[in-house]
Amino acid sequence: MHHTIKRPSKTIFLLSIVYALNLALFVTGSAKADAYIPAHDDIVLEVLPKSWNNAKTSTTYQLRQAWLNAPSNATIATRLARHYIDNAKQSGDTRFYGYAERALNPWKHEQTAPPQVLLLRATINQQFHQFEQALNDLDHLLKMHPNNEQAWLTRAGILQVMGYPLEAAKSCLLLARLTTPLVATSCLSRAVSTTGLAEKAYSQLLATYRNTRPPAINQQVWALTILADIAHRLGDINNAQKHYSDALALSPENTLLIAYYSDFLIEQKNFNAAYQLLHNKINRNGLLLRLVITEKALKHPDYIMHKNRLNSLFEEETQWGTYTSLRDQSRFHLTILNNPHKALTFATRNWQQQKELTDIKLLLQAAIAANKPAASIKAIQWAQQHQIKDKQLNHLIALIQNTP
Amino acid sequence: MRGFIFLLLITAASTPSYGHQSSNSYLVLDFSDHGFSGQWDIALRDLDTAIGLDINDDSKITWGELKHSHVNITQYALSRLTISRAHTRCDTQPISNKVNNHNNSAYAVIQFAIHCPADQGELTLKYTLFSDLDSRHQGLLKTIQPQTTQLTVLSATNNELTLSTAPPRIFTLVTSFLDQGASHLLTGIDHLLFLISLLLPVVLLRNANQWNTNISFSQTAVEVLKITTAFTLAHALTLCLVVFELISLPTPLIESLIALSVIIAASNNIYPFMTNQRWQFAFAFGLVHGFGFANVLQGLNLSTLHTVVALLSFNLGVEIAQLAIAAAFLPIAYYLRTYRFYQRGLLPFGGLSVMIIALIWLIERSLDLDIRGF
Repeated sequence: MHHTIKRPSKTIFLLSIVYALNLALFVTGSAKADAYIPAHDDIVLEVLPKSWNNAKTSTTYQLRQAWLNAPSNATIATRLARHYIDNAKQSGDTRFYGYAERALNPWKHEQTAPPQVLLLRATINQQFHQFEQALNDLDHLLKMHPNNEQAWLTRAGILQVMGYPLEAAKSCLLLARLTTPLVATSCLSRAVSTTGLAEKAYSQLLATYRNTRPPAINQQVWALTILADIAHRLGDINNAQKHYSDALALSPENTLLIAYYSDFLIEQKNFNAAYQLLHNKINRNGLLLRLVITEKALKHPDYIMHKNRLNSLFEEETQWGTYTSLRDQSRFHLTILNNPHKALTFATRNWQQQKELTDIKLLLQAAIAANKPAASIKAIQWAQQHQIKDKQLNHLIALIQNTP
Repeated sequence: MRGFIFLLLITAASTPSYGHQSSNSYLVLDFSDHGFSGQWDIALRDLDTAIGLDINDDSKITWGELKHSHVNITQYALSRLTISRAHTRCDTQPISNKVNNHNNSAYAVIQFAIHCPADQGELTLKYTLFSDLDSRHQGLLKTIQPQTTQLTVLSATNNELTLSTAPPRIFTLVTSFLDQGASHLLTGIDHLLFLISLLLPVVLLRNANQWNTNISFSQTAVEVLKITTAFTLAHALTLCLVVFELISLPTPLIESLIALSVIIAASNNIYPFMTNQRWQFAFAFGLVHGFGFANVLQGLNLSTLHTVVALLSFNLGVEIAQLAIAAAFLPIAYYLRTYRFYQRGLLPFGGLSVMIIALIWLIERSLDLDIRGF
């Protein structure tokens, strides 16, 4: 009799244990980040960016007080907004774009706001990928003030990102009569370099760069970054390296430059140099992604920690739908998590927002990795229709078209 | 002017999103049956701009500096959140201030209680934190209600929320109350001790004041089923009567009766006086235990249909947990019953320990005194 009961009892026993465990997990599984009370008063909780603080003697504080006293004064409001945009760039903290926009609130619903307001508003909307609104403001501004060079320049940048390089080039040409040759040529070379004219764009910009030195540092850095990027895309690795080094020497903290340069180094598998460039930039999400890619290649001990940090950040964005960069999210899934299907989903959504060369290439790479060539047809058609041409892009298109 | 143009050059060059995240706060509002509460995590960077935290202007915010600003922060934040029920504003009372980290940034934490004058009706809330500072600020709101948890992103253009008081979905109701029923039995030590005390002697027969093992496994299993089912049916019955407000008894009396039931069940293992009437006993005291379960289901505020579903699920949950315990208990007890330890040790001395514990409960509950010291 004893023998007959053993088998079912074991099963039931195991089942009941499984049930109890499930129940325990169900009850305790809803843990969240835990609030705590620090042990000492001296513990530093937050270090504010060096470039700004709210001390009573600071520019930020004084501009803010002036604005609080006269919130509908356009001169004061745009001064504060401009200061916050500057803060955003220097600290890499995008909240300051929201602060800047708030300062422009009195003109929120006005199409014919003062020119400075329209320009800053376009810059802010561009930051949040609201390209149509940004273009709308710029067009209004340019109708009234066709000589506003910054408006033409910003317009060119937006059109480039939206995937209209020829339209961008037109803006650059209209800019030419208003600004320095180097700014105009940088603008134009950047645009036409993605339309199959990369060699010409490079030699033209290099010549202008050599003939017009020394202009302002920002102009030099921008020109050098574009030169390096075009050289890189042309396969001219030595010159790309040289331009990037020169630019970095001029502006060692420029986030955009570091992003471009580190992408170049990662592609060259020069991970040690990439690590040197990125290791102290972990508070800028886009750069953290590149650091994680580098640390993965180097099998660095911090890799897991940084990967998890980025992962929880992206997961939170997915949970709430508050995406800040679908491009980065896609790249993270593609290169770090080895999840090409998710990478493709994000790359597709990203491409619907922005259609720069990088975005099209990312979509094609994800489509290839996920073995879903059909997902890239629209992007390829777009590229052909808008004359977007590039060596690597052609290579990717060939890969896709040769897939059975 | 020229300097400004060069500043914007890089923005024109691309659309970088290389930065920190935008300004946000994490707001958890818990509208559970056991009282309303909230936790609000707000970034120190935003607070520093809004009200100034960095007292010594060294660009570092310490815990000491934050503590200094707690009253200000709490007042600033809670005045920018309006919670109402049935168009009457609820009162928010700060409980404690802490610190939290989200995505490598420090956040001030305000924990608070919410007292609503109305006990029924639609809950509405309005969120205006930093609306005068940052037009892109987002409030990441998690609302917890008895049947649902909802995530909402609040912003300058979407700063009001009405919490649907629509009836819960049947499926969530079933799973939620199955779980509540099971957890309630498994975590309710008095119910567990009552049941186990009743089950311990089931694997033995009592003849002529002696235990003997001449009983088959299937006989035992049937007896276990009878006891647990009688218990479930009984407490289901009283539970229904209480929830539909057909009967009510004072809580101290019920608690004392439950303790008494444990004493009787345990004493039966020392001086066996029931052998064949155990299921009837389980039924009789199951009625009492049912009153105890009813506490969990008070104030449900559901329609009749939903209440019935909730009740059935709850009872089923209790029954499943009982069967799981019985399933775990039965084979072990059946195996151990032949040992002298089981008959001479576990039954009488286990029974005695349970009796003492239950006796303390009885005294404590009937006198409403705390004499346990643990």
